[in-house]
Amino acid sequence: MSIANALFSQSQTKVFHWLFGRPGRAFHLSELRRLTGLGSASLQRELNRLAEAGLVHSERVGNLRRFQANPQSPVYSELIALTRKTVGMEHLLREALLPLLPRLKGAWIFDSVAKQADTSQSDIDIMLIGENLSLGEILEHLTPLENQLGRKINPTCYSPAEFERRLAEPDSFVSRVLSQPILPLIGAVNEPARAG
Amino acid sequence: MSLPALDNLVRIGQLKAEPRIVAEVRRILAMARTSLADAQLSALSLQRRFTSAYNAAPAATLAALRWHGYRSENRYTIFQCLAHTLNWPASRWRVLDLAHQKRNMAEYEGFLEVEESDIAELCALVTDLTADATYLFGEGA
Repeated sequence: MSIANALFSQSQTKVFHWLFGRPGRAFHLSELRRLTGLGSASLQRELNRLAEAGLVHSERVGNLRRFQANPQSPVYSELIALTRKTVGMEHLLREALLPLLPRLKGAWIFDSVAKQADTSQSDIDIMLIGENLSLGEILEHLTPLENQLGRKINPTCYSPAEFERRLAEPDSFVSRVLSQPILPLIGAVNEPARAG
Repeated sequence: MSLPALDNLVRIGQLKAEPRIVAEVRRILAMARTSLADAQLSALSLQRRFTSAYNAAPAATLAALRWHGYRSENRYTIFQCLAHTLNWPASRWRVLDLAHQKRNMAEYEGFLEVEESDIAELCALVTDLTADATYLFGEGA
């Protein structure tokens, strides 16, 4: 049982993926129908519930209805975080990296995405620690996701020994990354600053 | 030997069409081999070996592109063209792009944290790249 399946219905998962996965963007009804692959009736039922609860803002432009995550809702940031972790980017990246276990010891997102300063064009920067992992092998697992996420993914990889050595250097790139917000994907990191 | 996908890039201005000059392709490939050989000199610093291995990558990539009758000055574009010039999967040519970013971080931010394993992976990849580009001669010349 995945977390997403325990929390959401199939159709909610699909609707959340777009509305709370891309919170800055408004979607037309027909667009959501195409993106989610849901039938018109079940999509409208989900959207009406979300709109009635004030979680989603709905507006009429001409004879088209547009929907967008409502930033005024008291659980706006929680829903975005929940979506990202369970059905969105973090979830997809984690799933894609699972085949690299147990050699992969740790992985996290850093830079603009982790600082929540990313735009829809920003690259996704990922730092990984693993035994005998090459960038080529990591990219084999990550590049298929790029189309789905619509972004470029840039991995940086260290062996555990290399990582420990760099971590001990206060001015290293590793230390700089870990002094800023990260989003953990795999494993535990040595008490870095966490993103919300 | 024109490639439809690359002709499209020419149409949208990302690539230039320019007839093959065999002597030029040989010259660029020779430069790639020299850089690659430098990268394997253990007496040199890791920094120098990484830069040498990296420098061989765009050279060998450009040789393949010029062989097919195209040119570009944009490194990401020429790496991207490997999918067509040498049938390389994204997981391979993207490693070259990452090396490019690493080199940029060194130039602009002073971070060059090269590990022996980075150089080994890059050298193996660029060795294949140079061999694949050289193989074009066998087929066409």
